[in-house]
Amino acid sequence: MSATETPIVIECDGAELIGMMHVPAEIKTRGVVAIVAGGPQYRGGVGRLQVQLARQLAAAGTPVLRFDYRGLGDSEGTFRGFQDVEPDLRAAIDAFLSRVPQMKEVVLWGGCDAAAAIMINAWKYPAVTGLMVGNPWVHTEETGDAVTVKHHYAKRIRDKDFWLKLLRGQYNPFPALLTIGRALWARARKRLSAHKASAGGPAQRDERHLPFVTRMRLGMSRFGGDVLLLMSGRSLVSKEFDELVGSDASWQQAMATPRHLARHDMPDADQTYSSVASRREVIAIARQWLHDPHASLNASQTQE
Amino acid sequence: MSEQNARVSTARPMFLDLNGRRLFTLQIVPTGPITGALLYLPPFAEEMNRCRSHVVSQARALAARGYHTLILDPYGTGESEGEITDADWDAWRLDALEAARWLVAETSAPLTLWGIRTGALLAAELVASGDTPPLQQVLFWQPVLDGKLFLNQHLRLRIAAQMFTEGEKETGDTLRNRLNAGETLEIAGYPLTGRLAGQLGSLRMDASVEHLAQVPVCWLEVVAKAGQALALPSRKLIDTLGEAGGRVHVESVACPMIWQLHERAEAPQLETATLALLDTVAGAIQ
Repeated sequence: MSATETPIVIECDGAELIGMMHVPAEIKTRGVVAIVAGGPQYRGGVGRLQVQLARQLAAAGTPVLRFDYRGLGDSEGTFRGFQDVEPDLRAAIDAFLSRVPQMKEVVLWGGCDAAAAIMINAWKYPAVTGLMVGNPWVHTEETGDAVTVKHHYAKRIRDKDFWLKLLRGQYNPFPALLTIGRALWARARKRLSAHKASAGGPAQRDERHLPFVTRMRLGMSRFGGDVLLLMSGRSLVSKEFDELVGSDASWQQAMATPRHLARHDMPDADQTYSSVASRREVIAIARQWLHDPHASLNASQTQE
Repeated sequence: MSEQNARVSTARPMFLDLNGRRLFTLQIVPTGPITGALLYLPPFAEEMNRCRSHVVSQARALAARGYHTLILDPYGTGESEGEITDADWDAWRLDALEAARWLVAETSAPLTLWGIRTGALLAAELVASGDTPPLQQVLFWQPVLDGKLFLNQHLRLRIAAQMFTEGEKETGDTLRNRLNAGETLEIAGYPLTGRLAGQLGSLRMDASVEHLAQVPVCWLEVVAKAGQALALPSRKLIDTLGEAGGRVHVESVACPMIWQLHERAEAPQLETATLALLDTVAGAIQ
């Protein structure tokens, strides 16, 4: 199926945002608005994942808009990070809806801290009825330590080189002990204060002062659309997210809010899907899910 | 409440049909009079992504000086048509040449070629071709001088990644042999064809010395500490250019290596130094 690619400039609070629209001749699914993770990136980067995703989704009937938020990539303005992109996302969604009027609903797509930005903000836009999020970024010292202890030091403790280094005095154990100690202390503190845990308090105040992980949870607890979680096996970020949801009842409640939640695990993928094979898998799963968010996802269909 | 107090540029993203290829360009156009035309040639693979926001920010700063910048996504990269596996250095050079001609026709302004890393090698080849419109200057950021060395460093990204996985460990020699045999290898998430590897490996900046000596060269390098001398190969080539009658304006800045950053970092020194270098050339011409 043919699709057009049209670059656009989106105005956001006086700054020019650069985006690319992929519009199929026949629209078969909701649209997708994609943002890239913060840091030194733009929408053409990391092996062109977003470009290839958009081209292949558009070829199968999904309109896609990819854009750089303020200060990122090609876009103008001050970089303010993923915690403060609500107006940028709104400007992009509005621009997309007005340029493709036959499209009424959109899905937001992003990985890492772009996933965090999406989870914080998605419920605020009426046209957003779905999320595709990869390895959501929930890193804090506390959850990070728990994951490091579980997946890194637990492995090293069985490793002969580690013990040899330790015995020869080449290994400084204090950072590791500090990390382990901090993780244990955090766990103890959490148990002690578990009975005091609040469910989030009165909603819809200005929440920008709250920790971003809390804002993500509050955001998810208000989002009633469909969610696709894409999780990489070789990513500590994805493990940290699982750790958080697994250990926190209010997060479990928040993740139960969407009308449908699908999850796809990719054991060999890394945080940014930086291999050709994992990019191909992400694209194939996204395509399946967009055409039927309730069907079971099948990685074997990813072979092309 | 507007982000821009007085707008000095507007962004014009568009596709250009060059040599039958549909290539994406982002043009940063001054709101005031246009006094210069600047064609940006990006570095290779992931380096192109990493430094992008710095490049566009630099272009916006240059618009205040009257430069109309055209940022080119070469065939098979960025937003342009095609796949990197179909890319070819000779086609990239022909497309860059067409982009330069298009830009000068569009702006009627004197041309500057701006290349980062291997983009600088491409710029040097354009200069050496003698086919470009008249040049005001070339601007290099951390130019790659030897394609063979660059290729070896690039291959090391694949070898380094294998440190964290089980299984067979490759060496530079085995990778080079496979590329020489025409295989396509995935390096840090980007497929590299034997053809492109062969082309990259044969590039040398010193092959263009004779022609580079005919235009002002602005040469910017990142060093570890402020005031530190440039790397020896750079100093040698700058000396050779001087001996050939060239005018090289050199500046070093201590800032992060923005083409390989994994975390975002600001590098305002690069922007300031670039503006100062171009002002120096403009002053020397007047």
